[in-house]
Amino acid sequence: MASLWVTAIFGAAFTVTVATSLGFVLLKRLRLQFCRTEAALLAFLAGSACLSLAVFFLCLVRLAKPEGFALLGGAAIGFALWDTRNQPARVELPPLSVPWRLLFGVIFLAFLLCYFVNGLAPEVSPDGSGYHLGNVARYARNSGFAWDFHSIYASLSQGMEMLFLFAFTFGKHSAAALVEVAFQAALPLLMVCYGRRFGLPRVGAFAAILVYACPVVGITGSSAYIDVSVATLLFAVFYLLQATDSINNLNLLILIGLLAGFCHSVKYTAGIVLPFAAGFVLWRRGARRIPLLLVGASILIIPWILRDWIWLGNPFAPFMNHWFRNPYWTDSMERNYLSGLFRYPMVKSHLQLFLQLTVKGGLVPGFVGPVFLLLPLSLLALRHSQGRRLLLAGVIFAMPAWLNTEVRFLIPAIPFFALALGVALGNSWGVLPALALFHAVLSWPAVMNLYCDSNAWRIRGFPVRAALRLEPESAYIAAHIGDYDLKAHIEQAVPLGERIFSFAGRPAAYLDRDIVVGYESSFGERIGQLLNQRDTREVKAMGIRYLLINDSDGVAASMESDPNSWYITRLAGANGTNFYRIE
Amino acid sequence: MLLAIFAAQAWFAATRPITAAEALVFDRFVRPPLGETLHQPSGNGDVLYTLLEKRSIGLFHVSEFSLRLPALLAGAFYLWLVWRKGRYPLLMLALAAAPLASQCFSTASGLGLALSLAAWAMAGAEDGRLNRAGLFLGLAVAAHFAFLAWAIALGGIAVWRILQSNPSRTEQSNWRLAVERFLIPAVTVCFMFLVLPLSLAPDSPSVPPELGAGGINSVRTAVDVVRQVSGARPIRIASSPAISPVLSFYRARFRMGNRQTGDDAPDYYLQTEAGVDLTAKPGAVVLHRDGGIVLYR
Repeated sequence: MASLWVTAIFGAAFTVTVATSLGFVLLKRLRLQFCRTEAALLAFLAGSACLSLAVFFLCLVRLAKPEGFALLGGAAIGFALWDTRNQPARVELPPLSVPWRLLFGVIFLAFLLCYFVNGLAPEVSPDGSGYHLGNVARYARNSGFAWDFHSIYASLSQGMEMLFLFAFTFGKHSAAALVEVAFQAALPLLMVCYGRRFGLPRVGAFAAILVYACPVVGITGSSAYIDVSVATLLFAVFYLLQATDSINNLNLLILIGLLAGFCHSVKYTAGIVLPFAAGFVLWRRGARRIPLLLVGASILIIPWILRDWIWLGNPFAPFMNHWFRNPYWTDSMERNYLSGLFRYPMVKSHLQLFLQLTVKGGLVPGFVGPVFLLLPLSLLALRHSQGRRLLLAGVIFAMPAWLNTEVRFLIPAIPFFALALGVALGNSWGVLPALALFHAVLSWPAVMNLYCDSNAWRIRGFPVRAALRLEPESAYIAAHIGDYDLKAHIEQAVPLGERIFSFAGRPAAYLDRDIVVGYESSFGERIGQLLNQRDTREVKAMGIRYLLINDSDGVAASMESDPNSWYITRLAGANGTNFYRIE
Repeated sequence: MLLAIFAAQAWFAATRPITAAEALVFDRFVRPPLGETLHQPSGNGDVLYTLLEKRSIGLFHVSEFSLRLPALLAGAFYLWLVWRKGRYPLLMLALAAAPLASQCFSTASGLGLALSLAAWAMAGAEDGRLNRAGLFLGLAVAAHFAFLAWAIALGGIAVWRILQSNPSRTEQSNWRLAVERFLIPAVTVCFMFLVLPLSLAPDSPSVPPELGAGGINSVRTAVDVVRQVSGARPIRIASSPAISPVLSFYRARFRMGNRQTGDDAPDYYLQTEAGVDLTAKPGAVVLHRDGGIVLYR
């Protein structure tokens, strides 16, 4: 059997190739002509939307298997090669100057290598190893959606997870993370294309460096998260909207709609791009063009809405439970969950907040880099029409950060603010390359370690040995994820198909038994309430025989000191977590 | 005359003993590796100057003169500008000699460098070299953060001059010139130097009590005594907070690599007399006592 790193690279490369192939076919069918580099990037993004939809339908009919994916992928690549065989050579965008090409090229390649190695290493990010790949691993086990498992995270739209699933089937966890690395690499390249197309080549390259080297973009994009792909897709929509001024083809609106719909299917908060795009089309092309946009968007949005409506009775699950009452999640749980995301509990002042977001990153968590403290200067870009559009887009795409205070929710706005900053500083000699280089140096892992908080979420180095599996995968994961030490005990004790209860989230991607988490479903909340009442008999009667309890949980001390009165047996314990069986 | 002024500055830089402030800056921001300088109990307001100090002691080893060399060179830079711009001999002399009063070109602090760079910035603005003017003004603030208020005032004057200097242009294009060529480079340059040191400066800085000139001389004598009695033998010296930076400087100055500072089982104590009750230490052997400083074993 090939090494895990080889299969991981294959899984990701196959996914990207299939997506790009589907994209080229789509662009040809829509008769859209783009220049060479932007065509490849837009084909990758548009094709990703198509591939995600295809995997969604395969999941519905339980054909999400390696054979199904291999057939789909092979057919897509073969058809694309045949379909595009006589395509005329595409023209190039206006060139970037040689010094900027060198500066961007060196920094881009250095960070690409860093992100690639981190992506290839075993996936250990909190949400990546938790619900993102937890869902993916469950779908892979079931060859499709798992209808009997209810969790807020399983009911969210999962357009990106469909691509992860495609890659995961061939290359496991690291393959999924590498797909995100591909989206991460596409973003700065698209920004450079934006600069070249719209007469701002230096600004495009400058902003691309700012975004690509940004610490929070680095760690999020080299993990199995979806925030950087959201940023890439949002930027692609903005790019194409700007291009409507120069490309007079109505099919472009369908492509924009498709990508806007994909944004929504990747992350609910990215759905904000649809009214943004509709508003832009209304302003530039008139109201009668909007239906074209909506048709494109509905292709990607409706399947997810229908899935949740039919499955859970709530088309917008896990939100809007007040209007769509259902047995799986309640209105009050939703309110509690959202209010927990809404504030910075540890931050005491606005100055501290800005320093945390840009320099320190220990309390928020993660940071965007000190150079972004210069963002107020981007207001100077209001003098230019491009600057005004970029700033407006940045403000709109930053809005979801009001609902969730984690720094990664700012990622979709960063490309727009970076470009606006570039527009503002573009006429000052030497400022753009100096700042770009300064930002790249400060964002390099070894340099970040000198100034940011020690617990700031960031890339900490080059785990080459772990990436190439010279260091055993299990040892690397166990060093980063405490619960991993319980994996063997769980697999030995818990029969297949049985579920485990936990008050806190667990690395579901590495545990092939379903975990019912207390705050993730009404069922979980009920189990939690019963445990707080010490009613383990009733818990067992509801089908839960195993418990994972953290030392910080309210019931932990009592369970540990007097397991007999709880009718439980301690099976194992590691890193502050105990594993119990209800007798 | 200018050469004589420069010679006087050099003489002061070479012969004056180290001051407590210079020793503290050396101990916190010059001696440690770059990464550690960002996490000191007090903020560094003279970032550019301490970076030049680091370079200077790297080239010429630690001494009072090498710490002050960047300031001295800034003085030469300043005198050159006075020479270039001087049309009236008396005014030239006054401008050249004025800094002698504050000895800013013979003291290891960023003030002299900031003054020199700001002077060059104003000259650049006057000559229409706006980028250079902005760069120098930004560097002036980076050299001495306390100069910020003066830099803002000088920047305002420079912008006013730029707006007045091109009557043929529209007011809008003059403003753009002032912002894009002068203000943005100035802000960017000082931002690049100061963003990390200022962001990471502690909210409540801790600075030890300052030692007077007599105390500093006494520490130096005490260090000589230790060198005589201990030879090349590795020893540990415990010191009080006020003495510690000065001791750290002399330890580096006299290449006393075998003398460790720290309170863990020390061989010698170097403390202020006010902070120690020797009657309570009957076994203590006093080796040196002067200027409120006592060295005992």
